[in-house]
Amino acid sequence: MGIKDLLKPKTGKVGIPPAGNLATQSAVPPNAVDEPLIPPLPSNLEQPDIPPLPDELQNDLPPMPEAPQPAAGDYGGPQFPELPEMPLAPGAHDEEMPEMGGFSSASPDVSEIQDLPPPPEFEEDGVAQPLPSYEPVTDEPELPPMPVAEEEPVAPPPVEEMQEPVMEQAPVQPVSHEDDLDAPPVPVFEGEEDNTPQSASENVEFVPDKLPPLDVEDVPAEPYIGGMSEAYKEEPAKLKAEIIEEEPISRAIRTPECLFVKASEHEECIRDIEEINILADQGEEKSLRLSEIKNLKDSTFEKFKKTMEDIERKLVFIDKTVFEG
Amino acid sequence: MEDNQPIFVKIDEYKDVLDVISLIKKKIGDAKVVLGELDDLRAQESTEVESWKEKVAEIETRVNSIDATLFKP
Repeated sequence: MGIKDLLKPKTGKVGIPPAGNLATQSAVPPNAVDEPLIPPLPSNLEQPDIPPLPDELQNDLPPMPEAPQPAAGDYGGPQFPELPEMPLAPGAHDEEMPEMGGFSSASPDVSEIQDLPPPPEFEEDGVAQPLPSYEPVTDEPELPPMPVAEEEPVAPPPVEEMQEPVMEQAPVQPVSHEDDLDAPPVPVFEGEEDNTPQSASENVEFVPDKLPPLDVEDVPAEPYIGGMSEAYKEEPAKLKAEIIEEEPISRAIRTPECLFVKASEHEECIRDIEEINILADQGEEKSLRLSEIKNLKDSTFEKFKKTMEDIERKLVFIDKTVFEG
Repeated sequence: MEDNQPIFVKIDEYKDVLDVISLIKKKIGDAKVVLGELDDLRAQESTEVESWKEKVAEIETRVNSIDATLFKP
């Protein structure tokens, strides 16, 4: 397929369909099929009613060029120049690929092969071929007896029990690299004592076990009053008490005279008191109910007591009537 | 005053309130003790009632025995 073929319009798939098919292909209601959307072309399209040019203009026009003759099988449109051949891509080879060895598409001619043996003749189906008889071989030479090992197995040498290694404490060596260095000694300047420690061991000697007590004069303990006004500084004891009381500032502040409770906490206390009153009222009701139960129980006990006394009296009557009469 | 500062309610003579609260706590303890005693009494009552049940059953058995001996051949 050439490029020209690709540039040809493909009717039915790509391009403008004919006017007659447009009405049937468009999505219009069925009752509108007879009315095409595109108006019909005028009948005098090939010879329109165009007035001829005046003679003055006709003389000035250049002669019309001859239209190129359409090639056979062409659609009659404008001729496109022939495109140059596509250059080969780098690395592509014009040579044909060699055939693969060992394979041949053509089947060999069997009639030319003369060395093949004739095919064997097959027996009819269902007839079993007897197997060749098996004759046991009796002329085999006897094998020599197996030699018996006379040597006893060699026992492995005893292995000495390994003892766990005991870690010895490494000797403590003084950390001193003084001898390792070949640096010259530090010179001592005139008028200045050499107070630099010579080794780590000397350095340890200067560190005391306990720190000496501080030589501080007795200062009277006072509360922290920094950042307060002068009026509070006059009464440090009272201020100390107030500071201690103000620590739990999240709930209440207690002073000797009164108590400051957070508004939310105060409301919660009031709610609790109301609930306690309700529970106390319920307790009174429970107490009354318990009293009623107790009275009922007492009356029942009295009835039981009377019943038992009647039983006793009747038993006494029976005793007198039966055994004393 | 800033909006995020807490508002406090002043309560005068709060020590009296504290005393009353301590008394209420003591009364609550007394009530718990009384309720415990009531539980004990109820347990003793139940024991006595069970004993009386057994005695009444024994009386019934003996009365039936006398009845069977005297009035039934």
